[in-house]
Amino acid sequence: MVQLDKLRVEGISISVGGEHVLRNVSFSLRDGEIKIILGASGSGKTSTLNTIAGIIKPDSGSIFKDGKDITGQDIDKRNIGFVFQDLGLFYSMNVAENIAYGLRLRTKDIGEINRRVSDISRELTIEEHLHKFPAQLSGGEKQLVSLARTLITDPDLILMDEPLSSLDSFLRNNMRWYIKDIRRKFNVSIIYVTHDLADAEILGDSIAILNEGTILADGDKASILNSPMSIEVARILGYNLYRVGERNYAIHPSRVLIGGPVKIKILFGESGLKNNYLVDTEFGRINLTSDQQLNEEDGISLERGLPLP
Amino acid sequence: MNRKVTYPLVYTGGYAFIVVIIPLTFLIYYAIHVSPTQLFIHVLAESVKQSFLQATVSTVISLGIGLIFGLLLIVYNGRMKSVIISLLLVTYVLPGIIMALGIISLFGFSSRFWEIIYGNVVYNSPMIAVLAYSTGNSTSIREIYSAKTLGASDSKIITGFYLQNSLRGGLLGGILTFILTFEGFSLPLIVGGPPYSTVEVMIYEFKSIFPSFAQFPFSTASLLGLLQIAILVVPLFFYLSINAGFRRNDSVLPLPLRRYNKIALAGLVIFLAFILMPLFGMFIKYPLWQLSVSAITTRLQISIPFLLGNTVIFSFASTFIAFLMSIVLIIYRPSLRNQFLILLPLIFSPVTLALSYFLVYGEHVPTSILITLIFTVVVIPLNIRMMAQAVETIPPSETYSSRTLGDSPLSTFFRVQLPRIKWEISTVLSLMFITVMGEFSSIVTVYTPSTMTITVGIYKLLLLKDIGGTYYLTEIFLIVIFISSFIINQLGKSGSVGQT
Repeated sequence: MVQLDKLRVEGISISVGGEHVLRNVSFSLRDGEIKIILGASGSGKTSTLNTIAGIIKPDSGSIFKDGKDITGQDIDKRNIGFVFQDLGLFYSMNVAENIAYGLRLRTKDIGEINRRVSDISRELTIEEHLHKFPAQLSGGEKQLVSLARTLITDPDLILMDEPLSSLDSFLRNNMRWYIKDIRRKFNVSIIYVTHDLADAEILGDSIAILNEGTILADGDKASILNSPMSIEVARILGYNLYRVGERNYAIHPSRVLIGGPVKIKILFGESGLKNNYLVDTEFGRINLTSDQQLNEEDGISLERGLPLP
Repeated sequence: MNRKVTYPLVYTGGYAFIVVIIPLTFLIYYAIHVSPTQLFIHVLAESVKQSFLQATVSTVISLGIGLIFGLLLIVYNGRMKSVIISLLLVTYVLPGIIMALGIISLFGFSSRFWEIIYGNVVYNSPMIAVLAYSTGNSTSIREIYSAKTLGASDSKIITGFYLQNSLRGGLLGGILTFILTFEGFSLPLIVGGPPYSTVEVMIYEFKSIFPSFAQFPFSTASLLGLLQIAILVVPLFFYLSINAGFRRNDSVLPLPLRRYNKIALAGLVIFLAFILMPLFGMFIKYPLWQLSVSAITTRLQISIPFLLGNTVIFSFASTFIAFLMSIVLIIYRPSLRNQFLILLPLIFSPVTLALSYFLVYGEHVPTSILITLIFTVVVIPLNIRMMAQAVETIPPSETYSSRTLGDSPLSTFFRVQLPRIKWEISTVLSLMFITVMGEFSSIVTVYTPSTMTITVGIYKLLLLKDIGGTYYLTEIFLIVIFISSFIINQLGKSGSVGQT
């Protein structure tokens, strides 16, 4: 039997005032998968999510969920959860009312609503905040309320628009594992957009790289992160780009080896948990991260560089 | 791709057709039957000249004064701030006829141009001040502190940041002042007299006093109405296209110019005295305890409770209908085109509106229904604009969260948006209610004895030269306005949600 994609986006394009926001964007999401859409600010990430949710309608292209065309379907009929960048909590309602909101639209059974609100708030460790209002919560607690509010409705998939961007790095790291755990417990498919490589590395099963409204690469995490397919993709993934002869190469900062034939001049060097350097070479400037200390006479090796097409 | 029918256009298009297109068609039909005489052309030229002159002078002075006091409102951050803003807003929504009587109580029946201008300035500069304050106050305090850390002086902060942002609201208020003054009715009619009649006054005169001036009834009034629409369509377009960008300033940082608090308060108190003088003058000259209800009843041959009852019923009905219509139109008004259609009734001045509705519906519906309809249309654009601005202050993600969780647009409005803006809604409702209660120019054009409201009663007493009775009835009316607005405000603020 052929396994259908959970979601399939086919050639969606959007223009606003003559500007192309999205150009022929296509990708798919498998059941239970976390797909990362990685791109810089203004690359079209949020527009992609808004289109999938039904907030904006594409000029062309189609969106299929479980094999059914939902392109023209109303937002409230799609059963697609959305965790917004600013979370979109209802500030006039307390936490319990926020979480129960979507469920109340689906069932009138008060006992059932109370039980499920209680279960999910316990699951996400926010049960002590149920009577508080969003303004009384910390950033991390608000994230959890937003997640609980979305999860309780059993959405077919969840869209997450850089939900961790406003958190400090410690909390952000914790929340990444929370989201991973949620996917495991609830077996829900997630599309997660971010500009943060760490989100992609920790959370993603697959990654799509979006740049100026176009998907540059789409595939499983390992192949995208380890084998960038173009200069643009390599740049977005933080690779060093250099040229030898007629050929362009990309090398990740952690794969540059200390000790090798390439002569260097150290421009900057910082010691920390890892040693970070910016060096000048005959191939251009290269940044690298290493456990070892670097001396100029050591030189470096670029033998792990990847040839780019 | 599966494309859906655009339902918003159906709602707004139907609304625009019934409310604007049909009355406008009747107006055009009557206007083309005009047979212009020498006298009519002379009257027309004089009234257009007066409208332009009064509108231009009043706008320039009001804008200057309004901007200065708008800036003082930004600088001042004491406990009296909300009281001052409320007093300024009350002045703005007071009926024009009350302002006209206030001016007369100060200067007597002297019929001078500058008294009309004074009335217009007193009437409009508070509105400009509040609008300038609203946009100026949305200036990011973090931006101000950034500028200060970079060495900007206080004067640079005021001119470079607050004034620039205030100008957006001020400009909006300035255009609105021009439009409202061009359509000036009560002040030129009551304070100015025949030499200072504006187009709006002449439409009323041709409709109600000399309806048979031409062979075809009401054709001269219709022509003047169309002329006024044609003149005001340009400033109206600018008014509608300006996005003043009102935002909530949620910063918890202290205000950067708080050291000037006392100076700003002193300036604002002087401003309040300047604009409230006509009202105080009235109460001092004609103290309420000398009121003779029976004398007024005898003069008008109608009881005061009946007048009040008519006023409250018409106001309540039209406010309620306008509010319901606004909700539907706000929920289904996503495109710019639809917004333009919704605000289209603004092209009618109140007298032109009354005239055109009288031409269309006058013979077919009772006058009480006609008046309710006219009042509804008078307030609906203002109501929608204010409600839409309030809705826009809510982060879109809240609305879309509700929609992605499966809620309908209507339910989302009532469950998510309305609780967030209920304070603004209560203000809008009370503003609408007061506006309609004080509506004079439209109702004086179409009323019958059984549908007389309090403003018409005041005007009739003035025509009968019962000056004391005029002022006593005005003072009763003012008290009713304050009580009504207080009750509506309290009703709007009640409820259990929105504590945060």
